[in-house]
Amino acid sequence: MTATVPILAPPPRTTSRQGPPGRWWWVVALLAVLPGLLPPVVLVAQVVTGGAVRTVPISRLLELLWQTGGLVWAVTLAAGLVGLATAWLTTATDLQGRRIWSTLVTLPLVIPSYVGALTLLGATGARGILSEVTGWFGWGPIPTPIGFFGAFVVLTVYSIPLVHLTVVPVLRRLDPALEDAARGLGAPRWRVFRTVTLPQLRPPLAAAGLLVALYAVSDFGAVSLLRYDTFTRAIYAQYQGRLDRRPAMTLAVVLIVVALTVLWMERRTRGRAAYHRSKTSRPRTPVALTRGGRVGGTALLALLVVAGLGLPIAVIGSWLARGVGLGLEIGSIWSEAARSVTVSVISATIAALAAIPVAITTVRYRSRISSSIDTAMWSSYALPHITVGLALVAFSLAYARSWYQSLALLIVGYVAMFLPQAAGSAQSVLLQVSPQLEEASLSLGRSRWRTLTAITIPLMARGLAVGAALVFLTVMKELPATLLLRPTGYETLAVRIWSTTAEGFYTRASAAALLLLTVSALPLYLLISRDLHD
Amino acid sequence: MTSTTEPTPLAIRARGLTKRFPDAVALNEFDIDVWEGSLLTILGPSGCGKTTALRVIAGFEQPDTGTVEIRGSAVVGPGLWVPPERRRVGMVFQDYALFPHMTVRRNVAYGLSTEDGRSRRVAEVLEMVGLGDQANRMPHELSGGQQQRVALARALAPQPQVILLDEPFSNLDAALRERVRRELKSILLEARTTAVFVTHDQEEALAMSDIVAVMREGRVVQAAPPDQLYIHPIDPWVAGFLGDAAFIPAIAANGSVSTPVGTFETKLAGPVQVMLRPESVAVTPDPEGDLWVADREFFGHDQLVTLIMPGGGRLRARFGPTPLLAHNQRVRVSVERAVVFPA
Repeated sequence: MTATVPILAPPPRTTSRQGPPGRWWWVVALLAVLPGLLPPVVLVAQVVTGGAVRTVPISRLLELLWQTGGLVWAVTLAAGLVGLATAWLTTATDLQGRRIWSTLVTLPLVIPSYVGALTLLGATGARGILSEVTGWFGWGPIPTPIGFFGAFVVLTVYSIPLVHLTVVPVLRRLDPALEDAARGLGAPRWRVFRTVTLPQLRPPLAAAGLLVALYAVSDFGAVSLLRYDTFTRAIYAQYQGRLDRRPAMTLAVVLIVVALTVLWMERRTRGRAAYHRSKTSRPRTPVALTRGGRVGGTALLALLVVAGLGLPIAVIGSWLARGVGLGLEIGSIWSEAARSVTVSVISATIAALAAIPVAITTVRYRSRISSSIDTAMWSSYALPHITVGLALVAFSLAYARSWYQSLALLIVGYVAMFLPQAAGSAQSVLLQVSPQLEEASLSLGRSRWRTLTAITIPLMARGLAVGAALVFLTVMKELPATLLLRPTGYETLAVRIWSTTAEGFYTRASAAALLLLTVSALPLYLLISRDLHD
Repeated sequence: MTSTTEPTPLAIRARGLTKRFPDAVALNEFDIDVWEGSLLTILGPSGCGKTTALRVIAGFEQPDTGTVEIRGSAVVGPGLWVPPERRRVGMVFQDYALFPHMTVRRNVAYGLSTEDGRSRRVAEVLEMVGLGDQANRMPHELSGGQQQRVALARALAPQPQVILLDEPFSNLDAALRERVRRELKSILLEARTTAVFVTHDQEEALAMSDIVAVMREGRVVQAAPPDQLYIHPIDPWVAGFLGDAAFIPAIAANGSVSTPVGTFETKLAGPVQVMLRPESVAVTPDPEGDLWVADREFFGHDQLVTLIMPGGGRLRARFGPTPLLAHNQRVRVSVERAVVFPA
């Protein structure tokens, strides 16, 4: 049985009948959400009308499903277990320096999977940095783990922070009284964890599982650089290699179905689990770790931080030093950086502005229409980026030729993919703003527009800024859609890292990677400090 | 009824307001008259629709049917709905709803246009609520009572036609409540504003208001000055809601009704209920008395004594610290005043 606490007080009213202007907000919100809904429609239409269904042999489809599915399961399971462990170690125990560990463990978020792949490739093999170290001891070079194992390691290491960040806030809010009550009834500690703590962590674990699974389903950078054949890699190969784009689109439709299946499975898992907040009256007493537990826990956290953050930085740094020492051409990175920052800033700004009507209609004017908009938006968030890129390419070629390979279409793509991040953070802030503030403004004789600009938007500002920072970070890192949508010759840092790594120019890749990490560090710091220490 | 176009001395006149929510009826033929310059309290148990009534008057809810006039001009009616920003109705919210991103000064100035006199008016109302020196503070830096006075100042600043207050004392602790209540009343008197309060606290309603409108299940069942209401409640429910009351069932005939504690005049005939307030029961120790003391709570300034009547009914009496009574002591009583309701 699930332990649930009844909610005694009714939840505070957040909807409004007389809030900021008008009920027609949903129209604007729908316009904002529409580009995100376009890809599946376009792809399905193209596949059906183009007779593309039979362009991919069924055996190939099954192979890709098997390989993609295997990777997704393995990564989700491993990241879920390790992330739960790091969350528990850093919130519920008396581990030394647990607050610092908690921040450090999330830092690998800044590192895109293709930089992770670069790390692995640059560390191992005949020329690898780590192989050089083993050489000092007279051992042979470490073999490069390409294929499943490499992809599994990289994706797991970089999705552990997603689990950690999702579980920690819930773990922190759990009412220790429930656990105390269970122990008072004579249950041993492991049974308390299994029957009381774990059931309460089911919602965040399911949510984290969804995030990780979608991350693995849609990853392109790591699997393509480490040569593990999944849908995203196959789609790009088809797109690149042939004039006939129908096979790529067929694969993309199947990939979307896979992603939506993951989404559906999370909904099922969530089931009737109660989302409730308990007001913790007193802080929880940390679990005292044994000596072995302390050593093991610290070792695990240290290993993760080294693998996820230390190693990439060391490898990038060494390759850069080595390359500079040999007088190798580093190549231009500054104009790439300028392009990355430009598109990221523009996309983040547009996404934050578009988030305003979406948040207002879904929070203040809740109706069947607005909740459909909300659901549609969040479902579009599950779309693998490569399918969005492919759909927008197909769309522009079929209906808007002048948009093909334009900067504008690239930015539309970014906003379509990342609006949910901005809208989600705007929604959560607006939920905290009492509608009475808007009513107070109206009763003081201010118009609805004035209320919007003087009260609602300023109070949402923090959420909008956080959302914009998130979008900025994600656009900086985005690779597959950028590869498909960018104007010819428009190289961003992400594209530069990917292409130079693929060609084995690790020094050039390292220079671009170092710049990318530097630019991403500040917004990431703001986000992490908000999530962990709120 | 007077014609709707003619100005009346009423600040608010509502007729036949009905408002259904998907799961409840909040207002059911709600009528109210609020006289210019008066202080009216809508009193009722929680869930009776009193906050909805206030929100309809302010313009935050649209009723299904009914009309509202503010100072003689219709704001709600068939095919008519004036939005809240054009009603000139000040509102003080239960949790004050101070704009957290603005200073006290900017909060108070918010409802004023930028024309000259704005800063003078801000200073004036802040002075009126005794917060002249707090203008540059942020709302969260103030105490609960101060926040409430800022909310009041903000509502008063644009000189609204009427000011509405939704449970204004519920967020204050009991020790502070009485003082704030007195301050608020004197500020409202000084501002010469018509004010409508909503509360579920009987004592608060009786102490504050010129008129108390008792509300039950979406409608006003009785509106009268506090003393009238207390002494002449319209039905047993209102009597019981306003304060401690004992009901003695009896049969009335020939213009009077006899009870174990006395005989009372009434125009009713047949089965009735006689309502007695504890403070109208005078108790005298008497070994021959028909009643005896079952329980006694001594408060110092007064005491509350529970008596058992012949036949087993209970009756409570409230009086000063004397006479001293013992448990099980026999007494007789004389009742100064009673209200007779049909049973």
